[in-house]
Amino acid sequence: MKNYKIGMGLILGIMATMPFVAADLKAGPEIYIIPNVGLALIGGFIVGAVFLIRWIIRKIKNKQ
Amino acid sequence: MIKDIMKNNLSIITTYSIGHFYVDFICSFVLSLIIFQNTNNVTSIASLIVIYNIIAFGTQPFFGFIIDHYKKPKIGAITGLLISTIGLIFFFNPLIATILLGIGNAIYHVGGGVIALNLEPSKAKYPGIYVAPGALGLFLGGLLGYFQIQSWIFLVIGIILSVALITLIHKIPLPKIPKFKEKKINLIGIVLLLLLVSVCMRSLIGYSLNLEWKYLFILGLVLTIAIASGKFFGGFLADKYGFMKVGMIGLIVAAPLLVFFQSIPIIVFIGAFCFNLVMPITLTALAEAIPNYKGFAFGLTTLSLVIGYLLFLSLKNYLVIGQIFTVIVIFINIGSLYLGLKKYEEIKT
Repeated sequence: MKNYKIGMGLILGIMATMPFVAADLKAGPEIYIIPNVGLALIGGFIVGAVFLIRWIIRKIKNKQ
Repeated sequence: MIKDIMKNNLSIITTYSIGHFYVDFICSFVLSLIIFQNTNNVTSIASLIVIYNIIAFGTQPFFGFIIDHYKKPKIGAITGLLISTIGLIFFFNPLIATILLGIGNAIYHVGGGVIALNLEPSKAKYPGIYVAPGALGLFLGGLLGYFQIQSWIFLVIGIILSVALITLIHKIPLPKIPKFKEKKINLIGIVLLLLLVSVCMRSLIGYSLNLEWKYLFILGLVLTIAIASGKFFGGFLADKYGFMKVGMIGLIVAAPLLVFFQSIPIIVFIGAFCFNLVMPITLTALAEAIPNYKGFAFGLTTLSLVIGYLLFLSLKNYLVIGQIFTVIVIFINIGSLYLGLKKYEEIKT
Protein backbone atom coordinates (compact mmCIF):
# COMPACT_ATOMS: atom_id res chain seq x y z
CA MET A 1 0.00 0.00 0.00
CA LYS A 2 2.84 2.35 0.94
CA ASN A 3 4.70 1.58 -2.33
CA TYR A 4 1.52 2.20 -4.28
CA LYS A 5 1.15 5.62 -2.66
CA ILE A 6 4.79 6.53 -3.33
CA GLY A 7 4.42 5.39 -6.95
CA MET A 8 1.27 7.45 -7.40
CA GLY A 9 2.96 10.47 -5.82
CA LEU A 10 5.91 10.13 -8.19
CA ILE A 11 3.72 9.84 -11.27
CA LEU A 12 1.66 12.87 -10.22
CA GLY A 13 4.86 14.78 -9.51
CA ILE A 14 6.26 13.98 -12.97
CA MET A 15 2.95 14.96 -14.58
CA ALA A 16 2.95 18.25 -12.68
CA THR A 17 6.44 19.17 -13.89
CA MET A 18 5.72 18.31 -17.53
CA PRO A 19 4.16 21.67 -18.51
CA PHE A 20 7.15 23.53 -17.09
CA VAL A 21 9.65 21.29 -18.87
CA ALA A 22 7.65 21.67 -22.09
CA ALA A 23 7.62 25.44 -21.68
CA ASP A 24 11.36 25.47 -21.09
CA LEU A 25 11.94 23.27 -24.12
CA LYS A 26 9.81 25.56 -26.24
CA ALA A 27 11.77 28.55 -24.93
CA GLY A 28 14.83 26.98 -26.43
CA PRO A 29 18.11 27.27 -24.65
CA GLU A 30 19.31 24.06 -23.08
CA ILE A 31 20.80 26.16 -20.29
CA TYR A 32 17.36 26.15 -18.62
CA ILE A 33 16.81 22.45 -19.06
CA ILE A 34 20.07 20.80 -18.13
CA PRO A 35 20.69 22.60 -14.82
CA ASN A 36 17.11 21.88 -13.77
CA VAL A 37 17.37 18.23 -14.74
CA GLY A 38 20.75 18.18 -13.00
CA LEU A 39 19.28 19.63 -9.82
CA ALA A 40 16.45 17.12 -9.93
CA LEU A 41 18.97 14.29 -10.36
CA ILE A 42 21.12 15.50 -7.47
CA GLY A 43 17.91 15.76 -5.39
CA GLY A 44 17.16 12.17 -6.37
CA PHE A 45 20.66 11.06 -5.43
CA ILE A 46 20.35 12.72 -2.03
CA VAL A 47 16.99 11.03 -1.39
CA GLY A 48 18.47 7.72 -2.59
CA ALA A 49 21.50 8.10 -0.31
CA VAL A 50 19.28 8.89 2.70
CA PHE A 51 17.16 5.85 1.87
CA LEU A 52 20.29 3.65 1.71
CA ILE A 53 21.61 5.03 5.02
CA ARG A 54 18.29 4.20 6.68
CA TRP A 55 18.33 0.74 5.06
CA ILE A 56 21.87 0.06 6.32
CA ILE A 57 21.01 1.22 9.85
CA ARG A 58 17.87 -0.95 9.84
CA LYS A 59 19.90 -3.93 8.65
CA ILE A 60 22.51 -3.47 11.38
CA LYS A 61 19.73 -3.06 13.94
CA ASN A 62 18.11 -6.32 12.86
CA LYS A 63 21.45 -8.11 13.13
CA GLN A 64 22.12 -6.76 16.61
CA MET B 1 55.79 -10.79 8.79
CA ILE B 2 54.58 -7.27 9.70
CA LYS B 3 57.31 -5.85 7.48
CA ASP B 4 56.07 -7.96 4.57
CA ILE B 5 52.48 -6.79 5.10
CA MET B 6 53.60 -3.16 5.25
CA LYS B 7 55.69 -3.58 2.11
CA ASN B 8 52.75 -5.16 0.32
CA ASN B 9 50.40 -2.41 1.57
CA LEU B 10 52.80 0.23 0.34
CA SER B 11 52.97 -1.26 -3.15
CA ILE B 12 49.15 -1.56 -3.24
CA ILE B 13 48.54 2.02 -2.13
CA THR B 14 51.22 3.39 -4.48
CA THR B 15 49.63 1.63 -7.46
CA TYR B 16 46.11 2.79 -6.64
CA SER B 17 47.28 6.34 -5.88
CA ILE B 18 49.02 6.53 -9.27
CA GLY B 19 45.76 5.26 -10.77
CA HIS B 20 43.88 8.01 -8.92
CA PHE B 21 46.27 10.63 -10.26
CA TYR B 22 45.93 9.20 -13.77
CA VAL B 23 42.11 9.03 -13.80
CA ASP B 24 41.76 12.59 -12.48
CA PHE B 25 44.42 13.72 -14.93
CA ILE B 26 42.68 12.34 -18.04
CA CYS B 27 39.24 13.54 -16.89
CA SER B 28 40.55 17.04 -16.30
CA PHE B 29 42.59 16.99 -19.52
CA VAL B 30 39.71 15.97 -21.79
CA LEU B 31 37.19 18.29 -20.12
CA SER B 32 39.58 21.20 -20.25
CA LEU B 33 40.32 20.43 -23.91
CA ILE B 34 36.59 20.42 -24.68
CA ILE B 35 36.02 23.65 -22.72
CA PHE B 36 38.81 25.61 -24.35
CA GLN B 37 37.86 24.34 -27.82
CA ASN B 38 34.29 25.58 -27.40
CA THR B 39 34.74 28.88 -25.62
CA ASN B 40 32.24 30.50 -28.00
CA ASN B 41 29.51 28.07 -26.93
CA VAL B 42 29.12 28.82 -23.23
CA THR B 43 25.74 27.06 -22.96
CA SER B 44 27.08 23.71 -24.08
CA ILE B 45 30.14 23.99 -21.89
CA ALA B 46 28.04 24.80 -18.82
CA SER B 47 25.79 21.83 -19.59
CA LEU B 48 28.73 19.47 -20.00
CA ILE B 49 30.24 20.62 -16.70
CA VAL B 50 26.90 20.05 -14.95
CA ILE B 51 26.57 16.58 -16.52
CA TYR B 52 30.14 15.63 -15.55
CA ASN B 53 29.81 16.79 -11.95
CA ILE B 54 26.48 15.07 -11.46
CA ILE B 55 27.77 11.76 -12.78
CA ALA B 56 31.25 11.87 -11.25
CA PHE B 57 30.24 13.05 -7.78
CA GLY B 58 26.55 12.26 -7.41
CA THR B 59 26.70 8.59 -8.40
CA GLN B 60 29.62 7.56 -6.21
CA PRO B 61 27.50 6.44 -3.21
CA PHE B 62 25.59 4.04 -5.45
CA PHE B 63 28.62 2.61 -7.22
CA GLY B 64 30.22 2.34 -3.77
CA PHE B 65 27.21 0.46 -2.46
CA ILE B 66 27.38 -2.01 -5.37
CA ILE B 67 31.13 -2.54 -4.78
CA ASP B 68 30.48 -3.10 -1.06
CA HIS B 69 27.71 -5.55 -1.82
CA TYR B 70 29.82 -7.71 -4.14
CA LYS B 71 33.09 -7.00 -2.27
CA LYS B 72 34.93 -6.51 -5.56
CA PRO B 73 36.79 -3.21 -5.28
CA LYS B 74 39.56 -4.36 -7.61
CA ILE B 75 37.10 -5.03 -10.42
CA GLY B 76 35.58 -1.62 -9.67
CA ALA B 77 38.94 0.11 -10.03
CA ILE B 78 39.77 -1.73 -13.27
CA THR B 79 36.31 -0.96 -14.71
CA GLY B 80 36.70 2.69 -13.76
CA LEU B 81 40.08 2.93 -15.45
CA LEU B 82 38.79 1.16 -18.54
CA ILE B 83 35.73 3.42 -18.90
CA SER B 84 37.85 6.53 -18.34
CA THR B 85 40.24 5.39 -21.06
CA ILE B 86 37.35 4.87 -23.47
CA GLY B 87 36.25 8.41 -22.55
CA LEU B 88 39.73 9.63 -23.47
CA ILE B 89 39.51 7.88 -26.85
CA PHE B 90 36.16 9.58 -27.49
CA PHE B 91 37.59 13.05 -26.80
CA PHE B 92 36.32 14.23 -30.21
CA ASN B 93 32.69 13.70 -29.08
CA PRO B 94 32.17 16.01 -26.07
CA LEU B 95 28.93 14.49 -24.75
CA ILE B 96 29.97 10.83 -24.93
CA ALA B 97 33.43 11.65 -23.54
CA THR B 98 31.92 13.60 -20.63
CA ILE B 99 29.49 10.82 -19.68
CA LEU B 100 32.12 8.08 -19.95
CA LEU B 101 34.69 10.08 -17.98
CA GLY B 102 32.13 10.83 -15.25
CA ILE B 103 31.17 7.16 -14.89
CA GLY B 104 34.79 5.95 -15.04
CA ASN B 105 35.93 8.53 -12.51
CA ALA B 106 33.12 7.65 -10.07
CA ILE B 107 33.74 3.89 -10.24
CA TYR B 108 37.53 4.17 -9.95
CA HIS B 109 37.32 6.51 -6.97
CA VAL B 110 35.13 4.23 -4.88
CA GLY B 111 36.94 1.04 -5.98
CA GLY B 112 40.34 2.40 -4.99
CA GLY B 113 38.84 4.09 -1.93
CA VAL B 114 37.50 0.81 -0.54
CA ILE B 115 40.95 -0.77 -0.98
CA ALA B 116 42.73 2.16 0.71
CA LEU B 117 40.27 2.16 3.62
CA ASN B 118 40.61 -1.59 4.16
CA LEU B 119 44.41 -1.86 4.08
CA GLU B 120 44.63 -0.97 7.75
CA PRO B 121 41.12 -0.41 9.11
CA SER B 122 40.56 2.66 11.31
CA LYS B 123 43.90 4.15 10.22
CA ALA B 124 43.82 7.31 8.12
CA LYS B 125 47.26 7.18 6.50
CA TYR B 126 46.36 4.96 3.53
CA PRO B 127 43.18 6.90 2.61
CA GLY B 128 45.29 10.08 2.91
CA ILE B 129 47.92 8.75 0.52
CA TYR B 130 45.21 7.58 -1.88
CA VAL B 131 43.27 10.86 -2.08
CA ALA B 132 46.27 13.23 -2.20
CA PRO B 133 47.39 12.82 -5.86
CA GLY B 134 43.90 13.60 -7.22
CA ALA B 135 44.35 17.35 -6.81
CA LEU B 136 47.66 17.24 -8.70
CA GLY B 137 46.11 15.19 -11.50
CA LEU B 138 43.25 17.67 -11.84
CA PHE B 139 45.61 20.64 -11.96
CA LEU B 140 48.11 19.21 -14.45
CA GLY B 141 45.42 17.68 -16.68
CA GLY B 142 43.56 20.97 -16.78
CA LEU B 143 46.75 22.80 -17.66
CA LEU B 144 47.59 20.45 -20.53
CA GLY B 145 44.05 20.83 -21.85
CA TYR B 146 44.29 24.61 -21.60
CA PHE B 147 47.35 24.60 -23.85
CA GLN B 148 45.33 22.59 -26.39
CA ILE B 149 47.99 19.93 -26.55
CA GLN B 150 46.26 17.27 -28.56
CA SER B 151 47.89 14.79 -30.82
CA TRP B 152 47.49 11.12 -31.53
CA ILE B 153 50.78 10.52 -29.72
CA PHE B 154 49.13 11.64 -26.46
CA LEU B 155 46.22 9.32 -27.11
CA VAL B 156 48.53 6.38 -27.75
CA ILE B 157 50.56 7.20 -24.61
CA GLY B 158 47.29 7.42 -22.66
CA ILE B 159 46.10 4.03 -23.87
CA ILE B 160 49.48 2.39 -23.15
CA LEU B 161 49.52 3.89 -19.64
CA SER B 162 45.97 2.67 -19.00
CA VAL B 163 46.81 -0.86 -20.14
CA ALA B 164 49.94 -0.84 -17.94
CA LEU B 165 47.97 0.38 -14.92
CA ILE B 166 45.14 -2.09 -15.46
CA THR B 167 47.67 -4.94 -15.73
CA LEU B 168 49.43 -3.77 -12.57
CA ILE B 169 46.18 -3.49 -10.62
CA HIS B 170 45.08 -6.89 -11.89
CA LYS B 171 48.37 -8.55 -10.91
CA ILE B 172 48.82 -7.03 -7.47
CA PRO B 173 47.32 -9.32 -4.79
CA LEU B 174 44.90 -7.76 -2.33
CA PRO B 175 44.17 -8.88 1.22
CA LYS B 176 40.66 -10.29 1.63
CA ILE B 177 38.11 -7.77 2.91
CA PRO B 178 37.03 -9.04 6.34
CA LYS B 179 33.54 -8.85 7.78
CA PHE B 180 33.63 -6.10 10.38
CA LYS B 181 31.78 -5.98 13.67
CA GLU B 182 29.02 -3.40 13.48
CA LYS B 183 29.17 -0.30 15.68
CA LYS B 184 26.64 0.95 18.27
CA ILE B 185 23.47 1.39 16.30
CA ASN B 186 22.08 4.41 18.18
CA LEU B 187 25.07 6.58 17.27
CA ILE B 188 25.76 5.63 13.63
CA GLY B 189 23.15 8.00 12.17
CA ILE B 190 24.32 11.01 14.16
CA VAL B 191 28.01 10.34 13.37
CA LEU B 192 27.23 10.13 9.65
CA LEU B 193 25.11 13.28 9.73
CA LEU B 194 27.63 15.40 11.65
CA LEU B 195 30.63 14.31 9.60
CA LEU B 196 28.77 14.81 6.32
CA VAL B 197 27.74 18.31 7.44
CA SER B 198 31.41 18.96 8.15
CA VAL B 199 32.42 17.77 4.64
CA CYS B 200 29.66 19.88 3.10
CA MET B 201 30.79 22.98 5.02
CA ARG B 202 34.38 22.36 3.95
CA SER B 203 33.27 22.37 0.33
CA LEU B 204 31.26 25.57 0.92
CA ILE B 205 34.31 27.27 2.48
CA GLY B 206 36.51 26.16 -0.42
CA TYR B 207 34.17 27.78 -2.96
CA SER B 208 33.59 30.95 -0.96
CA LEU B 209 37.30 31.86 -0.80
CA ASN B 210 38.25 34.58 -3.21
CA LEU B 211 41.68 33.60 -4.52
CA GLU B 212 42.10 35.38 -7.84
CA TRP B 213 45.88 34.90 -7.85
CA LYS B 214 45.52 31.11 -8.10
CA TYR B 215 45.17 31.40 -11.89
CA LEU B 216 48.86 32.27 -12.12
CA PHE B 217 50.58 29.01 -12.98
CA ILE B 218 53.22 28.85 -10.28
CA LEU B 219 50.90 30.04 -7.49
CA GLY B 220 48.21 27.62 -8.62
CA LEU B 221 50.73 24.79 -8.65
CA VAL B 222 52.03 25.57 -5.15
CA LEU B 223 48.45 25.85 -3.86
CA THR B 224 47.65 22.44 -5.37
CA ILE B 225 50.79 20.96 -3.80
CA ALA B 226 49.78 22.45 -0.41
CA ILE B 227 46.30 20.89 -0.73
CA ALA B 228 47.71 17.50 -1.78
CA SER B 229 50.31 17.45 0.98
CA GLY B 230 47.68 18.43 3.56
CA LYS B 231 45.65 15.37 2.57
CA PHE B 232 48.79 13.21 2.42
CA PHE B 233 50.19 14.14 5.83
CA GLY B 234 46.78 14.49 7.50
CA GLY B 235 46.40 10.72 7.67
CA PHE B 236 49.85 10.14 9.16
CA LEU B 237 49.42 12.90 11.74
CA ALA B 238 45.93 11.68 12.69
CA ASP B 239 47.21 8.14 13.24
CA LYS B 240 50.04 9.44 15.43
CA TYR B 241 48.28 12.14 17.46
CA GLY B 242 44.60 11.22 17.23
CA PHE B 243 41.76 12.23 14.91
CA MET B 244 40.28 14.83 17.24
CA LYS B 245 43.53 16.65 18.01
CA VAL B 246 44.73 16.90 14.41
CA GLY B 247 41.27 17.69 13.02
CA MET B 248 40.58 20.48 15.49
CA ILE B 249 44.06 22.03 15.36
CA GLY B 250 44.03 21.85 11.56
CA LEU B 251 40.71 23.69 11.26
CA ILE B 252 41.39 26.24 14.02
CA VAL B 253 44.77 27.16 12.54
CA ALA B 254 43.43 27.24 8.96
CA ALA B 255 40.40 29.44 9.77
CA PRO B 256 42.08 32.83 10.39
CA LEU B 257 44.69 32.23 7.70
CA LEU B 258 42.09 31.52 5.02
CA VAL B 259 39.60 34.17 6.09
CA PHE B 260 41.76 37.22 6.79
CA PHE B 261 44.77 36.71 4.50
CA GLN B 262 43.19 35.65 1.22
CA SER B 263 45.32 38.04 -0.76
CA ILE B 264 48.65 36.74 0.58
CA PRO B 265 49.47 33.49 -1.23
CA ILE B 266 52.10 32.17 1.18
CA ILE B 267 49.69 32.38 4.13
CA VAL B 268 46.90 30.76 2.10
CA PHE B 269 49.29 27.89 1.26
CA ILE B 270 49.78 27.21 4.98
CA GLY B 271 46.03 27.60 5.58
CA ALA B 272 45.19 25.22 2.72
CA PHE B 273 47.65 22.66 4.08
CA CYS B 274 46.09 22.79 7.57
CA PHE B 275 42.54 22.86 6.15
CA ASN B 276 43.15 19.68 4.15
CA LEU B 277 44.62 17.76 7.08
CA VAL B 278 40.99 17.12 8.03
CA MET B 279 40.05 15.36 4.80
CA PRO B 280 41.44 11.83 5.47
CA ILE B 281 40.16 12.11 9.06
CA THR B 282 36.52 12.68 8.10
CA LEU B 283 36.77 10.05 5.36
CA THR B 284 38.18 7.38 7.68
CA ALA B 285 35.78 8.20 10.53
CA LEU B 286 32.80 8.03 8.16
CA ALA B 287 33.94 4.72 6.71
CA GLU B 288 34.57 3.26 10.15
CA ALA B 289 31.07 4.23 11.30
CA ILE B 290 29.68 1.76 8.74
CA PRO B 291 32.71 -0.52 8.25
CA ASN B 292 30.95 -3.00 5.98
CA TYR B 293 29.88 -0.20 3.60
CA LYS B 294 33.09 1.72 3.11
CA GLY B 295 32.53 2.31 -0.59
CA PHE B 296 29.14 3.82 0.16
CA ALA B 297 30.67 6.00 2.90
CA PHE B 298 33.38 7.16 0.48
CA GLY B 299 30.71 8.09 -2.05
CA LEU B 300 28.70 9.99 0.57
CA THR B 301 31.62 12.39 1.04
CA THR B 302 31.63 13.31 -2.66
CA LEU B 303 27.86 13.74 -2.66
CA SER B 304 28.31 16.12 0.30
CA LEU B 305 30.87 18.07 -1.72
CA VAL B 306 28.26 18.56 -4.45
CA ILE B 307 25.69 19.65 -1.88
CA GLY B 308 28.23 22.19 -0.59
CA TYR B 309 28.72 23.48 -4.13
CA LEU B 310 24.97 23.76 -4.72
CA LEU B 311 24.57 25.56 -1.39
CA PHE B 312 27.25 28.00 -2.48
CA LEU B 313 25.52 28.62 -5.81
CA SER B 314 22.14 29.20 -4.19
CA LEU B 315 23.41 31.31 -1.29
CA LYS B 316 25.49 33.42 -3.65
CA ASN B 317 22.29 34.87 -5.06
CA TYR B 318 20.97 35.99 -1.68
CA LEU B 319 24.01 36.70 0.45
CA VAL B 320 27.24 38.57 0.12
CA ILE B 321 29.77 35.79 0.36
CA GLY B 322 32.45 37.57 2.32
CA GLN B 323 34.55 37.14 5.42
CA ILE B 324 31.64 37.07 7.89
CA PHE B 325 29.90 34.35 5.90
CA THR B 326 33.11 32.28 5.75
CA VAL B 327 33.68 32.71 9.50
CA ILE B 328 30.14 31.48 10.26
CA VAL B 329 30.58 28.46 7.99
CA ILE B 330 33.95 27.67 9.56
CA PHE B 331 32.35 27.74 13.02
CA ILE B 332 29.63 25.34 11.84
CA ASN B 333 32.39 23.17 10.34
CA ILE B 334 34.42 23.12 13.56
CA GLY B 335 31.30 22.37 15.65
CA SER B 336 30.05 19.55 13.45
CA LEU B 337 33.52 18.00 13.16
CA TYR B 338 34.07 18.18 16.93
CA LEU B 339 30.72 16.57 17.76
CA GLY B 340 31.03 14.05 14.93
CA LEU B 341 34.48 12.91 16.03
CA LYS B 342 33.40 12.83 19.68
CA LYS B 343 30.51 10.52 18.81
CA TYR B 344 32.83 8.53 16.53
CA GLU B 345 35.19 7.94 19.46
CA GLU B 346 32.20 6.75 21.50
CA ILE B 347 31.21 4.15 18.91
CA LYS B 348 34.81 3.05 18.49
CA THR B 349 35.17 2.10 22.14
